[in-house]
Amino acid sequence: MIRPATPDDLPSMVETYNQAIADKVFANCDVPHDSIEKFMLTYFGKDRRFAVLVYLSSDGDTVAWGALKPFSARPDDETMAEVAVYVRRDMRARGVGIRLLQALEVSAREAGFESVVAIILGPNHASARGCKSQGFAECVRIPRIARLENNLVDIVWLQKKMEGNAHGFDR
Amino acid sequence: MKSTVSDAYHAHPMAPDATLRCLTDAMGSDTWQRVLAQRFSSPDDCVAEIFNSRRPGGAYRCTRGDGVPSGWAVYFRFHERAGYDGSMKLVLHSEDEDASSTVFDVLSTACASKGIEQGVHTLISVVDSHMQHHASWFSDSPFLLGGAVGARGNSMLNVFYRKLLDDSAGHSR
Repeated sequence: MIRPATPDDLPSMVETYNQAIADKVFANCDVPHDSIEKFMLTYFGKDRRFAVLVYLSSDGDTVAWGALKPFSARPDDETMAEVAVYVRRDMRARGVGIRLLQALEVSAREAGFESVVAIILGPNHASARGCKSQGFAECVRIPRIARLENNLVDIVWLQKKMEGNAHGFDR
Repeated sequence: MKSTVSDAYHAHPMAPDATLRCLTDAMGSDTWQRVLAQRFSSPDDCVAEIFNSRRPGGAYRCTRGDGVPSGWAVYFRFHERAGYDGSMKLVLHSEDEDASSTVFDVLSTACASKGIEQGVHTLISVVDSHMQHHASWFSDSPFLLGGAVGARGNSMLNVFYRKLLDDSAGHSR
């Protein structure tokens, strides 16, 4: 089941985020977070157009989460949202991320966004495949700018246009 | 000749107080509204990042040969995440529309030189297609186009980058 996240989900969201970094699956080039405060501010203190969703297992555990947030390169552009999805390590490669991505796309359309952008690390081929399977297209590649341990890796921006959503909300 | 024109302009490093004045004066400009305001809530915040002693960054003023100010540039960490420690966002601002290409040449060269000293490996600019002087200059500059995404009002956000250091050893895509 997928439902909107609440602050009660924050501990599991942070844990899943940190797993992705610890497991070196090229989720991002961040360092692990040791508190939930930043997540609270980032995902629960902002415009309600930006959905935060969690994926629950059959026994009710939060096993993945995903969110829309202002596009980091142009946060004041109300037509764009940045999307990110994180899946608990024991639930990866089971289609959970794709279902969250699809749900976030529905939320983005309902909120009137004209496009969503995923920013991923170049070696994260699994995420790139998942995004492309949902209609995202690679638009930007900046070579070797993000450091992971001793390697510099590419950053890739993938964008999906929300056809028919132009001027879909009151500006 | 371009070299003669460029020789008439000079870049000078700016201290934090001079940088703050430049940014404050530019708050009504596209440079602030379309670029810097996307990252910083105030010029003070921006200055704090540029001159953060724990990482690279810098600011330059461009003046004509007769001393008249003609533009400025700042650069600072591309993104707050830890892995972007050598990737810098470059922001160029011209106050002399007719000479903006020369001003950008002088400023970007100064920032690149200083960046190399600081260990910066990449300069990056995200250029709104509505900022025509910038888009035109970057297209004909040492920067390479990484691509573009569609944005508000049929504009494109073009991402330009310039590699400053040979990072071919140990890299991975």
